[in-house]
Amino acid sequence: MLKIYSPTGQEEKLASFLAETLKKLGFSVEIDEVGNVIARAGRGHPRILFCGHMDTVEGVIPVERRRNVLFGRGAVDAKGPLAAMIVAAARHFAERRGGSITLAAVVDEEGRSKGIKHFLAHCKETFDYAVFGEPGRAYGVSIAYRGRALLKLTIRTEEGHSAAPHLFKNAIEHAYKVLEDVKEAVEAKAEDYFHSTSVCPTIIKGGKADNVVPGECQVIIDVRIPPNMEPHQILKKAKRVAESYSAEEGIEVQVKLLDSIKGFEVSEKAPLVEAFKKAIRKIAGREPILRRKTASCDANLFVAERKTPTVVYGPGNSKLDHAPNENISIPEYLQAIKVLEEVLQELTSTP
Amino acid sequence: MKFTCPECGAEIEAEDVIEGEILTCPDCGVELEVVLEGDSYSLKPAEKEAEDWGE
Repeated sequence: MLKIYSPTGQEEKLASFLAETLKKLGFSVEIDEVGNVIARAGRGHPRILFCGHMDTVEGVIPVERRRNVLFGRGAVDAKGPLAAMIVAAARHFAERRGGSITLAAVVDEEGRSKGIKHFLAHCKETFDYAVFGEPGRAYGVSIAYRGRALLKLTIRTEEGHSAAPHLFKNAIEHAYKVLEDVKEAVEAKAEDYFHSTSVCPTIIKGGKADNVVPGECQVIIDVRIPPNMEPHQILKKAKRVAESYSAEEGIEVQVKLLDSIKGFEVSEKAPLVEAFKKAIRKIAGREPILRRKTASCDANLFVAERKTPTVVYGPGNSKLDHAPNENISIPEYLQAIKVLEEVLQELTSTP
Repeated sequence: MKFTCPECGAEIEAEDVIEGEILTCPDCGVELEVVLEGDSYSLKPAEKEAEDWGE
């Protein structure tokens, strides 16, 4: 899989390879309209979804093994986790164990999530549990992700000659004030960073000439929200700030919600999480680490629509995501396969 | 002082290490903890958790 270079938009070769491989492993396989590989095996409950992504960021890394480590683009993000899910699922059914698994290897996760969105729109199946493959170490399980509200603020004022700045309201200068006001209204610090609402201005654009008082400034603000908060609540608060400015006073503020993602959190006591905890203790011989991540991933979109108990799991160090020395520890990869096998056995043997 | 990365075999040079110090292998990026065994230092994969924000 590492030898088949598959940056976002160029997943076809890997999709063909996986489709062939999964057929040989006994799965019924289809490649859908956007290029996702969907493979199914087994029958009845529990119905489990394993979902990973085939695409990587750009940049070829020669595939090379050095002692315990395998280098290659996608080694951790996320061909290693996807391969671990495939092997574990294949071994589960080779042992003639129960339940059914749908394995979705999707496209465009590093892009606009076209793959998972298409899968969600067209997949009629319901699932009892879902596991998304992303690196988080063989001993770690991610049980929660924050959501996101991406805001665009547009501040408009009257333009004028910059030799007389005292006569005009400067859109760039007022953007600082609007930004501060939005931050004060939206930002909320909690007991830890995961449960906090964070505000980060990421793009600012304003002005059109070096001798004109700017009449427009746009600010993009990336707001990350805990699972108990809805993106539209953030929009509402920001709009209230915008309404405190008025065109009559020479400052017009518009707010748009460019992107919204709901956060999610699965209980530490949920059967799916318990199955992982038990498997990690048995296979890795240590206490599992349960993570609550402050960003978001494809699993957010899935949970928002399906409400299925979902975790994110996979071997590898996520600090190496997108890195020029991306690599995965082979013993850790093999350990993750065993953990996933144990999880499947636990879930399918529990009445 | 020269060490060999236990994960990928790369050579790691470090001056004045102390027990418990965390080094990062320049080749594979693994974080390694300096351990004192008798009167000599060696490296083992660190178990400390780094910030892990998401995908």
